[in-house]
Amino acid sequence: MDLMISQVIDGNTAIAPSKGESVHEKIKQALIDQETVILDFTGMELMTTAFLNSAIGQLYAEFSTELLRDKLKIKWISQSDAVLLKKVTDTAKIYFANPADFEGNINERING
Amino acid sequence: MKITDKPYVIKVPIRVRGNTLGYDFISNLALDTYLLEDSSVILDFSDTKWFDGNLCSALGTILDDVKARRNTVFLRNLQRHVHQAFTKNKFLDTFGDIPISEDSLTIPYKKIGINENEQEAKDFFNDQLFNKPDMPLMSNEARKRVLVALFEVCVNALTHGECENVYVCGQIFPNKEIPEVSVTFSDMGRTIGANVNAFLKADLSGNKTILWALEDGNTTKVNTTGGIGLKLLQSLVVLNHGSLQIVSGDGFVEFLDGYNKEYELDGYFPGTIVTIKLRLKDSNFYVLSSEIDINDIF
Repeated sequence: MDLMISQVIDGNTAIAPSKGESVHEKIKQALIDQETVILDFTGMELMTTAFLNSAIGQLYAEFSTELLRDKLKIKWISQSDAVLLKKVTDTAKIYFANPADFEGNINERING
Repeated sequence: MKITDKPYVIKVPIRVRGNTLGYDFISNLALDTYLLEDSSVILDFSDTKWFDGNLCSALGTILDDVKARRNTVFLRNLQRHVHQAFTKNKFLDTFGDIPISEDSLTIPYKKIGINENEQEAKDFFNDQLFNKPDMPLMSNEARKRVLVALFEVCVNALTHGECENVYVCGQIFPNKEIPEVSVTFSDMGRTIGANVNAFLKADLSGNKTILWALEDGNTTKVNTTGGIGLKLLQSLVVLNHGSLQIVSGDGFVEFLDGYNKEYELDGYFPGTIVTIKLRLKDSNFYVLSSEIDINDIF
């Protein structure tokens, strides 16, 4: 399935995390239906990491990295947006691999 | 609580800049007026020779809060330079009684609500920052990086501060040898210290909690990732040779030349102020660390 982000959010600007929820729901449903999802960023002018976290980052809490790597494809994303998205997915992979460890490490560093 | 029938007069210092003295004044103003209701508040600028235009967002955050408690606010005895600055950035539109015209060297004082139309917010910054006469030529990618950085700050305030509004004001310096812009965001939401200490179940100082929030991947959101926006902002500031100041609670940290510098505040700001200074004509303005292969994102 082709998912044009600008159509889902009805615009070319995605700042608030709340805007990512509808994108997330559509991707999630398609993945449950075992579809391949092509994320089409045509026309997107501005996206924050907060939006990308909400739309895509949290998928790593629900699906394995292997499945996401197999089923998610991207087209028409600018290099600068690709940098943001890569940062979001890298962080999500580490975090959701073991959230307790991630937060435990932080606590340990802070509190000794 | 109505403190007195007499107007509550606050003397503004000679200079209010983005430094310890300036942020102390702003913090103390917030605390001194915190309990006032149904009163008159006069800010007396008679001694004030300089007030950083971008800090009007912090001043506006406080005064809006004061007005919400049915107080009346008056700005009095503004000296020529301060009056000019407050006129140009339209601050006096809200807190003065003089109709004014816009100036090309400011990002006007604006309250951005949590339900703000995002397209309009983007257009606001595009118009007020980039589509000005004398602005240096910038590539679309460079403009975009600035906009993303500014909105990351905005989103942080609205989501982590759990506040309804964030206030913004900026000053553009297109004729400096290296043109630059200073933009200040301010909110009266939960402080970074309150958020981080609640999350970590710790009792860290304001500065330590700000430093924690600046670390890659650290976020106070539960069961989800985040904390990337501020790190990206730091990276941009490093590449751009700009600066980033964060004031929250009793914390004041400045990120400059790749290092964090901690300052001691006497006051306590019941919210967060973020000032970002960026160079506008910088050949190194945006550098992608490496080309991203879109087949290797997931």
